[in-house]
Amino acid sequence: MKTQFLLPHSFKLPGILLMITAIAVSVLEKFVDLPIISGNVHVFAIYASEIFKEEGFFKMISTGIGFTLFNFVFISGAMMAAFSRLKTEDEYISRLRLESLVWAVYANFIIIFIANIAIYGDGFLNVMLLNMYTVPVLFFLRFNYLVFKTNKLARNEK
Amino acid sequence: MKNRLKVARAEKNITQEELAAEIKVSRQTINAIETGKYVPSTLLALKMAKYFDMKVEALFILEESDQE
Repeated sequence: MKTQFLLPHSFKLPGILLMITAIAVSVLEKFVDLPIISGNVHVFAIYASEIFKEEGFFKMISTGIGFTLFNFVFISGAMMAAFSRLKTEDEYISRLRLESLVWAVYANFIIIFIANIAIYGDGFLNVMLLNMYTVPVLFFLRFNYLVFKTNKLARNEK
Repeated sequence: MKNRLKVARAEKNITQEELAAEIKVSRQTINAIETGKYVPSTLLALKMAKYFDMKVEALFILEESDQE
């Protein structure tokens, strides 16, 4: 049985490295001024709505792209790491993938539910920002944990 | 559902790893089936039965609880 929509196995490690790079640079940026992140760049926007500026569609704007870059690198990395094949990809591994994905989606909604009744104002906005990454990250962690656990069990058997 | 996979494997004297390589699945899959954590697809069950030269029913057996 073939599992579809998966990247080659060789994408996994570069994906993990991209995620680590994105996090490392965003932490570094708190201490050192990195012009590419703090400076303004001209970009094309399908829609832009900025504070003190006129909103509009299909226009060139000058804006900071630190957050955009972080997302670009981190989400690319997370997708590469999470959605690449294992060396042996078979039906049981497919089931582990499905279970992990369901688990990640449930966990995501539980986080939103709790945050909704416990966190207010800007805090909630921050939770929503972080929430962009919860499904791929939780899926990646859960799936690799399950594979690691079954690997360990299988190794004990002859 | 229970299975006689471990016994069949012992009779043929092959490891989980060797069986996995023979029928082109991961070793984890063989282990999960033997420990009853995973019920294989019909296709995989047929492949296993063919490899052991047994009928599928001789390798995988329904239990009382499966009938409910």
